[in-house]
Amino acid sequence: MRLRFSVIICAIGFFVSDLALANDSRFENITSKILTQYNYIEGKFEQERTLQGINRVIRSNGRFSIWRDNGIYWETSKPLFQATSFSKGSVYYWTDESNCESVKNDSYQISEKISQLMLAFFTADLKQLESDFEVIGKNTNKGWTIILDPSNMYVSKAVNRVTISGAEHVEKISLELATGDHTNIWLQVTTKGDKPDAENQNRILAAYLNEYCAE
Amino acid sequence: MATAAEHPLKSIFDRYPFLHRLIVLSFLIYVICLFGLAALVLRDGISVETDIQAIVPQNSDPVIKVANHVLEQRFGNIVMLVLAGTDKQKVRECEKILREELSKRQQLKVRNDREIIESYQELIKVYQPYQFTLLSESDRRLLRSNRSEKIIQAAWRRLLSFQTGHPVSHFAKDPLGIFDNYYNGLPFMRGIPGIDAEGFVEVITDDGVVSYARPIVIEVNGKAMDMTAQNELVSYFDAVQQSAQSRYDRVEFYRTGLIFHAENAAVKAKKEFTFISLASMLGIVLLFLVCFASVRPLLLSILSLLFGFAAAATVCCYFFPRLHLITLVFGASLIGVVIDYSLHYFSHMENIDASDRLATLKRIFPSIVMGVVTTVVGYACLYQASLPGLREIATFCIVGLVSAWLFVTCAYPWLAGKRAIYFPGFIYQAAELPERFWSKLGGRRSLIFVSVVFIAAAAIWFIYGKAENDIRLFYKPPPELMTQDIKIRSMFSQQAANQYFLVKGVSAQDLLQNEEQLVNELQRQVRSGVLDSFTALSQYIPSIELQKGDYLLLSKTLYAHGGELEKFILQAGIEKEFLEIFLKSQSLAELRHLEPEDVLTHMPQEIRDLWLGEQNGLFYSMVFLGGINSLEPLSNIADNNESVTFVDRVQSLSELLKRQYWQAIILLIAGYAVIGLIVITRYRRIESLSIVLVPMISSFLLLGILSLLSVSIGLFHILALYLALGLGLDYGIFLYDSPADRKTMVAVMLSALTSSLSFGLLSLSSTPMISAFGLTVLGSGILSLLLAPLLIKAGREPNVPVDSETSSV
Repeated sequence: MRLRFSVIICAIGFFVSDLALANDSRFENITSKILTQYNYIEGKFEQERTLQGINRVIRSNGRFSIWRDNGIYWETSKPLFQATSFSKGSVYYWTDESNCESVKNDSYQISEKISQLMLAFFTADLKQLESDFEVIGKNTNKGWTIILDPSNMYVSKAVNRVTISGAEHVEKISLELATGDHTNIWLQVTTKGDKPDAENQNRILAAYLNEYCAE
Repeated sequence: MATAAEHPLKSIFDRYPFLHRLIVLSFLIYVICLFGLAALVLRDGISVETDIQAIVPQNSDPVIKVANHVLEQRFGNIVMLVLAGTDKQKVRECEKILREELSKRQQLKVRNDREIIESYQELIKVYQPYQFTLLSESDRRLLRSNRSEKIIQAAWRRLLSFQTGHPVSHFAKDPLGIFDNYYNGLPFMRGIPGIDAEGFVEVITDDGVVSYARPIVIEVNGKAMDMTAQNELVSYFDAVQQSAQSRYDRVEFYRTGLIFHAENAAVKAKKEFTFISLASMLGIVLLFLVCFASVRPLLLSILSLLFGFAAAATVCCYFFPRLHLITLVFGASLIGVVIDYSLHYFSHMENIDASDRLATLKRIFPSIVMGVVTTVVGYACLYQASLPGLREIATFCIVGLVSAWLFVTCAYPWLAGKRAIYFPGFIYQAAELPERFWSKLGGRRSLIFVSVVFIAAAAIWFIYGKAENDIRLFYKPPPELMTQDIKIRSMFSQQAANQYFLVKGVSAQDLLQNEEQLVNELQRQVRSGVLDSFTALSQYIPSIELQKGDYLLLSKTLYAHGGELEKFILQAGIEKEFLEIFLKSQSLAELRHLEPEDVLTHMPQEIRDLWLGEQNGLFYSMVFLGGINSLEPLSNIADNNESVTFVDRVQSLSELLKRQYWQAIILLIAGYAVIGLIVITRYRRIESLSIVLVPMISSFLLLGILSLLSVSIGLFHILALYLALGLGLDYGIFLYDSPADRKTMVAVMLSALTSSLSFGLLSLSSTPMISAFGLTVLGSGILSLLLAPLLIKAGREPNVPVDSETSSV
């Protein structure tokens, strides 16, 4: 069993908040609010990356869509288009607005695992997520903060620590990678509902439906 | 007509009175030598080999021998435990407990995922200095086909997406992730096919239930374990497994490893040795008590047996590296053969006076000399098969026979007493039964009947006989171990233990280049489903030629001035100084190439094993194969490539056994011809060939019967026919030389009974080759005993209507 660390990290941002919430009953309330109140949320994000050996912060932004039990669509708009769909055991990269391709992993099961982990977050499948992190949670004046230290050795080879904070929703995710790189992501939920519109449905499920995506 | 009285050996002690003393003197010297050897053997300690591979012939090619040795070391000490259950969590918990328990035992090293991952992390440092000459296969393909935009897209993903870092290297050292792609593309980083990210394999049972399996790989320290250590270890595995199973009743356990087979074979062989020895001894004790009604013959016979056995064990322990348990099992059959000399001696004992202690020996000397010569020749024929196990068996049996013969010849005249022994009447009657049977049937009709049956049996063998010569002759795994092996093989694509490629080159670099060609071909075979995977050294150490090409390709494309890297860096808004520093370090790396010696010592053992280094002036490496679905295409690859050899140990062994099977048949026919000539020369009568007909007809009849029973005939059946020839000749010669001697008939019958008892017990062995040997000698021995009176009588008195005679004794 050898995981592709780079791919594994992609799951972290999503499922950590769920683990943190499992730490405290007050978190559980918030969790249930986030997870069960709406089947679908979408919003915008801002991201800053500090890379070892580079004296410049790399900034990007974009949008996200999360549809419970179905999948996630994560799109970077600036400085250029980058998008990923996670749905039903698959991970697909969008090469442009209308075409995507399967993640070129030699072991297909890694994509499946990542996809499962992320969907587990939104379906509150805590049992599946708990095994990868040690979770420390605390309430703050504005909301809550969760610190996640990897207990899974594969994850620990790629990431040192993940910090999640928020109030009603996850608002900020900080990633400290094993290479010394830092990533901060700010999330802003703009739409909540039962299901995405047709376009976002296609974005999330494109890979699953295999409509746009090449294997 | 030659008679017993005319036998040249009969009066040899009268003609050469000093001869017996000479034999006794030789015997004493021999005993002293044996004591010396025994002292040396005991000083070094006696170790019994239980590994079945030790009796399987080895390839004669020295490089293949080295490669096979590497393979045996690799597989010989690995145990794989597999836990499977529908609840992953339970499987994981059970695995944790098992790992903890197994790690406590010093003899075992449980392969730990963490250590493996850490060793791979360490390897990054070894590869990193050569990063500018290393390209993953997919990146090379993209660059060669001018599709570098794919690499750039991935680089942007790395830079912008939150989900990826640069675990192999910093962005600053590898902005486009080229080295990242190379390292993550190495076979050991790609993971095992079929295993998911948590290390589970999904298994769907026949009932459609999905369960999840986790492997625990354990290295057993020290290959050459004795039986006790093997037993202890297997018992330990049993106990650990039972303990875990009692706590996790829904978790299923499977295990595989050579140690389980070796232990199983050893336990079985030990049981068989004990059973055959005890049963043979018991049979002989009963036979002696019934026939001789005296303790002295029994004790002396046991003494001769013990002497023969001890001598055989001592000589084999000294001249062979380790005494194989299979030799001991086979050697147990000696009891039935060695006892013949005692039987003949006591059968012919008459009241003698003290002045002529040699009287009995003189009487039986021709018979027991012929007996020992024919049997030794029979066993010696086993040397023709270049099988190490058979050579040891042959040596054991020959030394045991000759030693027991010497004991009888030298010690019996002084120890056997001076009083005649008379058999009970029913013994004589029993001995005459075959002859009476043929007489009743009508001698001439019997001859016609036997001839027809003989021709029919030969025809049946030629037409319906099936030949089987493969590894199954040496070892037949028990179903419980086979089931587990098959189950584990179905879950995990395991590396083939008996098939691999051997690649050669005039230098290390030539070797790597040759291997790269093979790797290209193997990739095609993987795509077409011929095999699941393969592991080659060149996948980890590209040839310098390829590295130079990759460096040039990168320099001309991504790393060129104004190339994709420059555009990427500028678009990302990163300072230009960074680019200049990066490209400078790239240009400085042009002459730095990864070579085997740079990386081999840091590699995991499983990859180091691939490198055989310099052997006889050429460089060699192995390419391991996994999940082979078809052998022919792989064999064809080697046929079209001089630098590549496809080694298929199972196939080679089968071919060797097949060759030896036909050689053995031809030699057996030649042996019959030579013996026929000797018999004619000795007796000066064409009818004397009936002596040779006894084992020949018996052998054909047996082969026909076995073919009718759908028993496949293999090399060991044919080799056993040599011994059958020896035993059959004995019966024929004794009866031909002493036609009216009732005691000879009794001795022949008792001899046949004891041999049949021992070889009959041997036929019950679970080792196919021993069983085949036992069955053949048993069957042909009984047939020889039955046919000998008829054929010998017909040969001695061809003009007398056999059916008009009654018993001549």
